This record gives sequence, structure tokens and C-alpha cells, in this order.
Amino acid sequence: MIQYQAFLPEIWLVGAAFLVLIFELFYKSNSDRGLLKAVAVVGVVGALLSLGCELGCVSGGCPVQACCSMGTTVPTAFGGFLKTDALAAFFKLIILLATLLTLLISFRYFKANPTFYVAEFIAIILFSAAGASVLTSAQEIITLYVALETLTISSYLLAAFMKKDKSSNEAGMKYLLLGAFSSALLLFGFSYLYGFTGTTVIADIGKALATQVSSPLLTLAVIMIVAGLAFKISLAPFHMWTPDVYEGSPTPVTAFLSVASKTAGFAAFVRLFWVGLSVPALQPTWIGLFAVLAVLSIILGNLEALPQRNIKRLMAYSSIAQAGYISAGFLAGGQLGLTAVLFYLFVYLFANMSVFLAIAIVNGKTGTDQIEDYAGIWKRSPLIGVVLLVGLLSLAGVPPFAGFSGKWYLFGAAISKGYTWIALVGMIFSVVSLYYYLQVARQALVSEPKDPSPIEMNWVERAVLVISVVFIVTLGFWPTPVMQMAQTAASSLFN
Amino acid sequence: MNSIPLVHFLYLAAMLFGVGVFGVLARKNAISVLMGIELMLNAVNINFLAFARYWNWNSLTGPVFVVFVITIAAAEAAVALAIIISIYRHLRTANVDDAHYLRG
Repeated sequence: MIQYQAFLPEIWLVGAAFLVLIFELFYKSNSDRGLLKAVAVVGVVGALLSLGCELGCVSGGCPVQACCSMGTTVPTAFGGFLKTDALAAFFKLIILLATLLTLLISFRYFKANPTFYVAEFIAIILFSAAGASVLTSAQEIITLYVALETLTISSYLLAAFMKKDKSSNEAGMKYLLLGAFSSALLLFGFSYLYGFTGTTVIADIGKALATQVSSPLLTLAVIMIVAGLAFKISLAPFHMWTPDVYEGSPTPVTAFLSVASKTAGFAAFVRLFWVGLSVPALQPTWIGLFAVLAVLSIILGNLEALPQRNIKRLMAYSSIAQAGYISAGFLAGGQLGLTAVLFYLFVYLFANMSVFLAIAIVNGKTGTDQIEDYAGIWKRSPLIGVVLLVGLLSLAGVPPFAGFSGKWYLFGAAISKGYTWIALVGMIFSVVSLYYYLQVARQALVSEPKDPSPIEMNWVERAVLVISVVFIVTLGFWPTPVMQMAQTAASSLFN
Repeated sequence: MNSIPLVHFLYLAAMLFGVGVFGVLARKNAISVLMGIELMLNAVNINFLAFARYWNWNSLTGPVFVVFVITIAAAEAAVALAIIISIYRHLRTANVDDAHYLRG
């Protein structure tokens, strides 16, 4: 029997996407499409609610017993190909929140950059969120591949969405060619994996490989899988596309790629490597690979961010470095490392999304993304000044904020498994990163504005920014509740 | 039984994949790059079918994967051509190197 609870959030997302496309037919071309926006938001909120309900049922703490028709069993569907365990649910939570914030950013973006294709944009965002969401619960490499491609093919379209804009087109093409190339690499690795084991179920791949000795072909397969997925989360040296795509894409798409797409990539990594390839013959190989990729990302990402003048490009390099930090926790692995990865992704979600919302609001007023045009933002909108300061300092890992505790757990996990040198590189370059993050904050808080007119925002945006700041500060002092959730999620992978 | 051994298929697929990678890296025209990617995907398909026959023809896992790969390759090609046409309208060329508006 199919337990539809396993993919209820995706049903909400895809259903909302189709409704948006259908309602669009009834609109005149120049109306503001308020209903479509409402449908999209309801779809994502519904997905979040169904996810929360399912989590509550599995842990036995759901107040509404009527919605728990299946007791405390973990919902699975399609013969075990989809299984929404606590780990998948945690990843889904991050992806859905990121989608919600992306929608909010896109409403602001389209106010400043009108287009006739709002409905298509919203629908594609929802489809790609559904792909990312399926990816987190995929237990099998065909499902994983199809979900990953749903996510990335939608992202190509989103990156190239402003078709009158030369840079958006260029971003789309670069993303597409490199993304398709990396998918092909990944698939070639998958085909050898299938050849060695005769199965596509990740857990069975792990069992079949457990007795195998390492061979050059198997190592090649692992290298190709790492390379293919490293493209998706933009680990150096597979990061060449990131700055161009992040700068050229519409701001909501950049925000989506930097959080939702990256989280989905890490979900695939965790499932594939810690369940399927966590065998004595292969583990040293891919852990070594990840160590190199993590250190390279941390060094290159931070150094290349230093001279940047465009804030979206700066955030691109920053996100490469952040992927490096997260990889340090990922390769440490085990309960400790994976908990740290999940917690950091959660913190990263709020820090990055609030900064991108601020970027979209500023861009809507000034029409530029250059850092020198952020001069005196503090005087024009105090809230944006605070968000930039708190969000960027959290990304840098400065003590009172959540980024600090996140990095503490990541590097702690790395040190506990003997990767002290990676943690050391991470800490040194966190200090380097302070320079370029503070450069933005200095412009925003210290310089005098050229144009002192205030920047307006509506109450939803104000509320989201305030909530994000509160979250980032609170999680810094009191990470326990989220840490406990992350611990439950990480331990669901091992039993 | 007198049939072609598995390793021949693997060599063929590896060569096809190599040709595809070369096409992606060496060609300047976006359409040619796309053709290289299609060759890589076809190499993957050959691999899957060869392995499927080697393991168990009746399980269908391999052939099903191939069907999905073909479907997704078609979707990817549709999106790719749309984006390439759109960029052609701006630049009057589909040459990858001529798209250098974005630079750090």
C-alpha cells in the first residue's frame, strides 16, 4: 500500500503549482495577480503543515490524533523508494522555508522588474521545490536522479528567466551547460555503481559493496559521483559557474539556489555516501576527496570574495566557502558530524535568506547591487542595516550569533574525527571572511548616504526580517531545541 | 551461449563517453556542447543496458533507468535550446566564449 503521507508536502507544492498555472489563464495580461501569489503561499504553508503533522505523528507528539491514521510508523511509498524519515523531514523543513522566503523575495523583485510571466515563475519555483523535496526522501538512485533533475532543470529556466536581460540569459546558459555536464558525470558514476552491485536501492548498494575490495573502476565511479554532485553544491574546484550564475540570475533565484538547491545537494550526499558508500573499501577514498574539496572551497571562496564589488557576486563566493565549512562536518560524519551539518544548514537558511531579502528590497529602490551603493543604508532603513550586520556576521561566525555555534559544532566534529587541519584552515579563513563581510556592513552602517530618501517595505517583509534576526540571535545563545531536532534527524539515518 | 562479453560494451560506452567529454570541453558552439552532453548520456544508457543484461534481464531496473535518462535528456534539450535561442537573439551567436557579460 502506498502511504501518501510520505509525499504529502510534494502533493501540496505540485498542486499549488498547477492551480497557479490554471488561474493565470483567467487574468488579463497587466493585472497584479494577487490570487496567484496567495495560492503559492498557501501551497507552501500547507506543505509545511503536513510535514509538521507527519513529524508529530512519528514522534508520537501530534495533538490532532485524527491526522495520524498510521500511528508512529515512518511513512514509506513506492516499495520503499521514498521514505520520509526524520532526516528527510529536517531537510524538507529547510527547503520549504527557503521556498517560502524565495516567493516573498520574488514578489518584491517583480514589483521592481515587471514581467508578464509571474505565474510561470511561481509555478517553476514550486516545481523545483517539489523536486528538491522528493530528493531528500529518495532511497534509491533512479528516484534520486529524477528528483535532482526536476530541481536542476527548473533552476536553469529560473536562472534565465528575465529573457530581455543579457546577464540573466548568460547565467542560464552557463548554468545549463555545466549543470548538464555534471549530471552526465554523476550518471556515469551511477551506471558503474549499478554494474558493481546489481541494484539501485542505496541501502542494498551498501550491503553489496561491504564485501568488495576496492578496484580502480569503483574508485573512478566514486570520483565521478563526487564531482557530479560537487557541481550542484558548488564546491571548489567545481565552482566556476557559481559567481556568474548568482550575479546574473534574478535575486529570488540566487537566494533559492544558494539555500534550497545546496540543501538538496547535501541531502543527496548524506544519503548516498553515509548509507550507500560507507564501506571500508571506499570510505578512505571519498573522505580524502572531500577533505581536499572542503579545504579548496574554504580557501578559494574566501580569497576570491575579497575583491568583489557586486554584493550578489560576493554572496556567491561566500556560499562557496560556506559549502566548504559544511563539507568539513559532512566528512567527519557520524551522529556528531551530521547533526552539525543539519544545524548549520538551518542557521545558514535564515542568515542567507534575510540578507537576500534585504538585497532585493535595496535593489527595488536603488536598482543596483554594487556594494558602494549600500552607503548609509542604515540611515535610509535601520532594519536593513541591522539585517545586513547580523546576517553577515552570522555567516562569518562571530560569537553572539548562530553562525558561531554552527561553526563550533562543525569544526568540533571535524576535530573529533582527527581532521584538525581542516578545522584549522576553516577557522583561519573565517577570520579572513570577516574582512569582506564587514566591508559591506561598514558601507551600510558608517558611510554617509548619497541619496537619503528612506527605503520602504511592507509589513510582511518587515516581519520576516525581524523574525530572521531574532532567530539568528536566539539560536546563538540557545541552540538546544534545533540541536535536538537535528540530533533526532541525524540518528534516523543510522537505525 | 555465444554472446558478446560484457567488457566490450563497457569499452564502447567508455569511448563514447570520452568523445562526449571531448566535445563539451573542446567545442565553442553551445549546440555542439549540447551534442557532447547527449553522447555522454547515451554512453550511460549503453552501460546500464549492458549491466542489466549481465545481472538479470528480468528485473527491469536497468532498462527503466534508461527510459528515465532518455526522458530527462529530452526535457533538458528542450530547455537548453530555448535558452540558446534566447541568448542568440541578444548576441547573434551561439558561441559560448562570446557570452562574457558577467565578469568579476
